[in-house]
Amino acid sequence: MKLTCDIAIVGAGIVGTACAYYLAQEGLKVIVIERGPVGGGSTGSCMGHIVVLHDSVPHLALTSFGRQLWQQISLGLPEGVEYNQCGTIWLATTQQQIQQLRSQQTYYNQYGIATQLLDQDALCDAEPCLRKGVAGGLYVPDDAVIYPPAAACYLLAMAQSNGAMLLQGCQVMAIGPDGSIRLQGNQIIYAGIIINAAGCWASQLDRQLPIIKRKGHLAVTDRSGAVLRHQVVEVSYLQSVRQDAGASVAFNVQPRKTGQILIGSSRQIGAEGTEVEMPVLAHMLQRAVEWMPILANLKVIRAWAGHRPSTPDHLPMIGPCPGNERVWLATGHEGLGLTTSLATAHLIANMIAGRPCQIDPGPYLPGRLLQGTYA
Amino acid sequence: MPRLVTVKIDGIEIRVPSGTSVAAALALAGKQITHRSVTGQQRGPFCGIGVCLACRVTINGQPGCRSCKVSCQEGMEVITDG
Amino acid sequence: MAKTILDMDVVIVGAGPAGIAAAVTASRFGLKTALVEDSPGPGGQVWQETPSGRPWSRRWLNRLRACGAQVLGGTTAVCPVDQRTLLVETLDDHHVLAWRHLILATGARELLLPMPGWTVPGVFGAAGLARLAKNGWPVAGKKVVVAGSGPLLLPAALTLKRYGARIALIAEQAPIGRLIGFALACMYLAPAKLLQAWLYGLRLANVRYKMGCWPASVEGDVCLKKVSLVHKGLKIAIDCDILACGFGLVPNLELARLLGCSIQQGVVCVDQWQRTSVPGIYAAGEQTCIAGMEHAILSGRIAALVIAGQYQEARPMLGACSRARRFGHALARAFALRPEVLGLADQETIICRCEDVTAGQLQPYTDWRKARLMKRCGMGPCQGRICGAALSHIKAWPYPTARPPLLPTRIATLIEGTMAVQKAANEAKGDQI
Ligand SMILES: Cc1cc2nc3c(=O)[nH]c(=O)nc-3n(C[C@H](O)[C@H](O)[C@H](O)COP(=O)(O)OP(=O)(O)OC[C@H]3O[C@@H](n4cnc5c(N)ncnc54)[C@H](O)[C@@H]3O)c2cc1C
Ligand SMILES: Cc1cc2nc3c(=O)[nH]c(=O)nc-3n(C[C@H](O)[C@H](O)[C@H](O)COP(=O)(O)OP(=O)(O)OC[C@H]3O[C@@H](n4cnc5c(N)ncnc54)[C@H](O)[C@@H]3O)c2cc1C
Repeated sequence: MKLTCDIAIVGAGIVGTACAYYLAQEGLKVIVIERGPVGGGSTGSCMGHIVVLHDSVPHLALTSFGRQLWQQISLGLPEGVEYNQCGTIWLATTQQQIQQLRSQQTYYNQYGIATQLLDQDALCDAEPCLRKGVAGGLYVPDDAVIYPPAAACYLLAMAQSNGAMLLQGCQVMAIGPDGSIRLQGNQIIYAGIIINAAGCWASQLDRQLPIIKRKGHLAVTDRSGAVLRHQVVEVSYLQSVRQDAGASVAFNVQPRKTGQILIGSSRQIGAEGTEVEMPVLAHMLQRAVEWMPILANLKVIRAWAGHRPSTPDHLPMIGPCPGNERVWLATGHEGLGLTTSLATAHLIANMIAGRPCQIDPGPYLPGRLLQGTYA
Repeated sequence: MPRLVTVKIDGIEIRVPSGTSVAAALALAGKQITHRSVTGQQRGPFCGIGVCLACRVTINGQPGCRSCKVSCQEGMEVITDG
Repeated sequence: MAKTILDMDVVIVGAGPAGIAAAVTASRFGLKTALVEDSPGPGGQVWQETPSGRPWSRRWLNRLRACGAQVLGGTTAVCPVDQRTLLVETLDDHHVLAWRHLILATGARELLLPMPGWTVPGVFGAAGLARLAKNGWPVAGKKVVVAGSGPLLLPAALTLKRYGARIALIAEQAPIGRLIGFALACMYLAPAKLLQAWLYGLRLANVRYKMGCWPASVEGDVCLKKVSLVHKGLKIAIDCDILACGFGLVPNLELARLLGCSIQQGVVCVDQWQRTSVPGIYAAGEQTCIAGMEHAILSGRIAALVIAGQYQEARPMLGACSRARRFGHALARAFALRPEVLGLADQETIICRCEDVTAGQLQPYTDWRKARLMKRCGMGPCQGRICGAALSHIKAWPYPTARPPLLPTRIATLIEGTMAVQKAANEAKGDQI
């Protein structure tokens, strides 16, 4: 039997399922092809922070748009997705960093993003377990956290209710410029448009894609008396995000409904496996303890690592491959794929339909990183 | 007769033979419940050999200790989460 | 505050019969040996020191005390830091042990199977409750149903009886026919005295022992009130205080798995010299074969002799060791679980007790990864030790991969232990320059 469809999406991570969610709503015939569990790639090992990030204008635009879309659908999310609008607090220690928070606030104001500066006392009230003497913080109340694999499953289920089809346990071996997809076992699917949303593995299907894996560690504590109310991140996290060599860590903690604390995060290039590396884990935990001394005595029940799909300019690739309107990319979201998944899918749905986009898609078009045309 | 040691369980002192596990001391103090599950059910010791972690309590300020694996020591303070 | 590292020739994890025999043997040849034990003192599941300790165990424990091996009680092995170090934690401290040879002797735990009501306080492992009683847990006057499967039900019931429990019934799920076959096989494979002791104990104890009988559900809310069992197609309900229920033993493989040792058919793979697939790492006792104490002692001694290069002395033990393993296999066949006991859980029954995931919630999933991703099954503090073993029997799901730390571990331990290893490595580098 020849299988054909309007849209074939490779990968059922948060990005692929978000694409299916919007495209199926358009009445298009969508097939999602996934070799493993839904949300079992980077999506299954990530932290689930929906956060506005401001290190560049395109990032700010995409993350705030993404967050807005999450907020819009949040009321319909099932309990298992654990959407919790706990907000983010960015922490500053030095006067220079306080200054940084101030300009962050001004910047956010321009984009209509609510913020509140916290002085030392206000910070102490908001997060009593932080070490004393942290100079100040910036509270971003509309940021949220979710449980990512459950979110991916939800988006896919909604797409399925609009007629999308999931081919699970199918590895895509090759995608052709003519819209053909060869599966393991040589079955071929023909699609009007193929969307490569294979995350870190997108480049296995197209070797010219400049995607590398950026490994990250996380650890979760046992339930404890320690209080944490917001996702709390040190402001120098942004430097850590940009660091391109070696392993870097930053303080980044998240409250779980159960009273557990999720501790992040590390960034590393050139680490292929997802095994836990004790030196990196220890370094990350040390950083967390410096900010929240009470953590030293808490117990880690589980640690793991995952990969972020990263591009040379740290921005995702969203849109058609240059020179080939049938193969599209939705990958390279690095550490923000969860936040920006819905925004990515929204852009793609609008571009495919030929409608104007809510934000300028220009900065994310793959052409910026890909020379030549698709073979 | 074995020596007796005094431990404090949720603020109440109890004397038990030395060598008694903390889990046993809890039961002797009438506390079969060591914690509440994630959905709020009451739970007590279960596997008896330190594997299931159902008997976790706070001992001398250290949270998450398996009470079946620790012997009572003089002056120990135990807090349950039942 | 980075601490120094304890440098050892041999590190042994687990101070049961296998670990103790290994430690005593290794020390004889002047090897600097450390024995790490999670419980307050050495002894493992059978020899732990209680006032009522038997002479045999006392002999081994005396040897251990005299042999010069460093015994670290109340100390849990939590993870390797690098290829030659092990991080261990105590109630309020931690150490790093560097080893040249590592012997894994972590023993076994009971297989605990889900059934309606099994989360009610008052349900315990069978041998586990005996263990609790030995450490002072009050069973006196309590009415106890002992149920499940395997040769441990009887000694467990006898122990409970000795501590004053009233044993209402021992329910063994295996059918009587298979047990008779086993008894005959025992005469051939195991010391006859073992079998005798077993039958004698049963008569002496004067307790009801039903074969082909198994528990089906538990009633009670805050505490247990009633246990329902199935026997000859009929339901029997027994009012009681406690259900002590274990379905045989499963090896503790988590550390071996974390160290990358090959595991097949549910046990650590070893050659006749107890070597695992990882150079320098040996395994002994129940995690290589559920075969009881004699096998544990023999395999522990063999591992230590091989490390000491004493093949001559080890060789004569190989025959007895493999006989003991055959006994273990016969045991497993005799007490093989019937399908009914693997299907006791109903939709509402909790399978993962840490995350309270029910059988109904797991129904859509076909493997661990999905169950874990979607429901956090097996991701609680016990790291799937209970539900993982149960699901490997019920759904034939292979165990989930092990990740450090093996058990909940203080953040300070993970930080300081790792830094100590890094510091030592840097100093070693410095020395070379
Ligand atoms: C430690 C860590 C913390 C993070 N924290 C956050 C955070 O707090 N907030 C945030 O927004 N982001 C976070 N991220 C980033 C986020 O996880 C990723 O950006 C996002 O999950 C990427 O989603 P994806 O759908 O592109 O990729 P994936 O989730 O990896 O999905 C790709 C899918 O494609 C499938 N696939 C690949 N190749 C093939 C093939 N040939 N055939 C069939 N199927 C295939 C894979 O099996 C996989 O399921 C974090 C990442 C890490 C590692
Ligand atoms: C609850 C229970 C009760 C039993 N009762 C009897 C009985 O009454 N009679 C009988 O003949 N057999 C009994 N057995 C069977 C018993 O397993 C064997 O007879 C024998 O003890 C096996 O010896 P071993 O050295 O292999 O393991 P064990 O005796 O089980 O010793 C293993 C030791 O390793 C320790 N350990 C495990 N993981 C770690 C870690 N990460 N760090 C530090 N230490 C660790 C454990 O605390 C344990 O003390 C029992 C088994 C169980 C599980």
